[in-house]
Amino acid sequence: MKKSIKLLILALIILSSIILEVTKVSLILGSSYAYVVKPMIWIFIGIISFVFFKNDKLINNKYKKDVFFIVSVTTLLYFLLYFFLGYIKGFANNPYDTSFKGIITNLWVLLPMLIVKEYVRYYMINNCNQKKVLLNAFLISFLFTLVELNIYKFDAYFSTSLATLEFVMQTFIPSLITNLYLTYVCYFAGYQTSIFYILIPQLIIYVLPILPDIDWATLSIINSATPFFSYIYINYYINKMDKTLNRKEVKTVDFKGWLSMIAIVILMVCFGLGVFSYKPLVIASNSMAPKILKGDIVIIKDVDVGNVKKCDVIRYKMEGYYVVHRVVMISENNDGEKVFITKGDNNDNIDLYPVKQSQYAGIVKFDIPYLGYPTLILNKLLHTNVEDKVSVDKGRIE
Amino acid sequence: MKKQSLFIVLIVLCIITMAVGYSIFRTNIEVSGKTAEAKDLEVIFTNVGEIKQEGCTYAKAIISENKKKITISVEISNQKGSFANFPITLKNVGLIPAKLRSIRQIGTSNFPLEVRYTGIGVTDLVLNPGDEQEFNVIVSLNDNTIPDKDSYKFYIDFDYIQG
Repeated sequence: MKKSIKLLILALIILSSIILEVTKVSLILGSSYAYVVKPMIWIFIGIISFVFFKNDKLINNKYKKDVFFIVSVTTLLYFLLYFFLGYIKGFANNPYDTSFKGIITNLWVLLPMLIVKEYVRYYMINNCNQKKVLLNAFLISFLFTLVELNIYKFDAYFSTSLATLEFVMQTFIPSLITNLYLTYVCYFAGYQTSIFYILIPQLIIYVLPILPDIDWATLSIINSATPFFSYIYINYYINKMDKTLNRKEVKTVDFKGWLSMIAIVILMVCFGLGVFSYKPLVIASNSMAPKILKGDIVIIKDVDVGNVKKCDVIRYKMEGYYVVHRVVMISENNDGEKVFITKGDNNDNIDLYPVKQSQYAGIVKFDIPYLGYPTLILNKLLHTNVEDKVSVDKGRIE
Repeated sequence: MKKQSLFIVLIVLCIITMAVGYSIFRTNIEVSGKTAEAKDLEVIFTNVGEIKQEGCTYAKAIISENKKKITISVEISNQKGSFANFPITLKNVGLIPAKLRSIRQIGTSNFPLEVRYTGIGVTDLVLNPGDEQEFNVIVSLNDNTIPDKDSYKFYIDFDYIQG
């Protein structure tokens, strides 16, 4: 049988692995679908793949060990970043069953799918038309991205424009980037390397009793950035080591330039996520005009609540959003905690509810005009109604 | 190559040591009472049904944008027997079965209201992927107290773990 036909049959079989979920037959099977049927489906795909490719000679790639080493370091860095963020964002209980039986069950669910996927990916990328390897790499990655999508969430993915954008940015693109990276790694270093990259962090997540309490947006950024930067370094390394290319063809990459760019991007992402004691916030109303206008970005510094003075502009938490107003009076409650009376410079009256110490969230240090407008425009396009949410009750000055 | 192999072994040992050491020292780390996000496990609120009420001028339940939290607002008179019944549906949109670990109510300390749940509880009952469950949140006036105000707001979220 021709290689191209084998690959096409295999792609169709892989796509059909989700047929039970698409047709909702999996709902009838209940928990046995997740714990029994799905692993068996992947074992079946593995057997077919083995029959198709058992006579193929494995390509002896000269960079296999070097790429494996780089991927190992990437895995370690991902692991360190993931848990470092736990010290910033806090930790929460592990939702997975971390008993011995639970770990074995989760490994039984994960391993067949992981090993077979990477095995198939490796043989697909190395048996496809090498003249169109980039296109084939994209198609293979797209195929595995589709298979990884959560069918049960499809209604929610496209329910609103905001949900669709969240799906694309937080689910689809990170998954596609990871699959492109795994396809690239398989091409140069074999399926064992790509299995290592996925298995080790997931194994640790199954075992630990507590995990970093990271939201999906942050996780998406880490899951996209880590493979992306790893790919850049592997590509640089391979180009540098490939002595068969003549000088004109060598894609010289200024490595120091890349390193600087990576460092700047990481710093910007961390700054945006609020890792440092200075945090940015987009202003959505003119309550503090003329000093701070709608569309400005203010930089908030974590200052001890005891150091807040009258006339400081503070940020405080309301339900689902922050307010940036000026302190007009400071007092203490019966428990000795600070209570702030605040007012927007452009409002006639003070804010009705005093701000408790627990709501306080930093002092505004300076503001950058107009820089927040893209965020406000995006919010408007996505109908998040952020302006409607900002409704700080106003009181009277007594 | 031997140096690289040694380095790989060291990396793996380092990861394992960190994982073990992390578990040992976890009691010194601040851990929130809830569960972390997991890609396979997700239960969301999908619908609030027709609210039944008696003795309330206002009763509303709003599902948050991420569908993980419900904010309940009631304006309840101090008539005996006043209540508001919120029928809510949730769905397991994850890939593995889930069971309820805890129900968290935030904002109800010192409330003169009683909040009860029917149709749901912390049991070994498993919610399979794609399954939905309906339950009710009943907010009523506590007979033994006289409320100092008539408007209340609190929110609830559910913690699910692998079933």
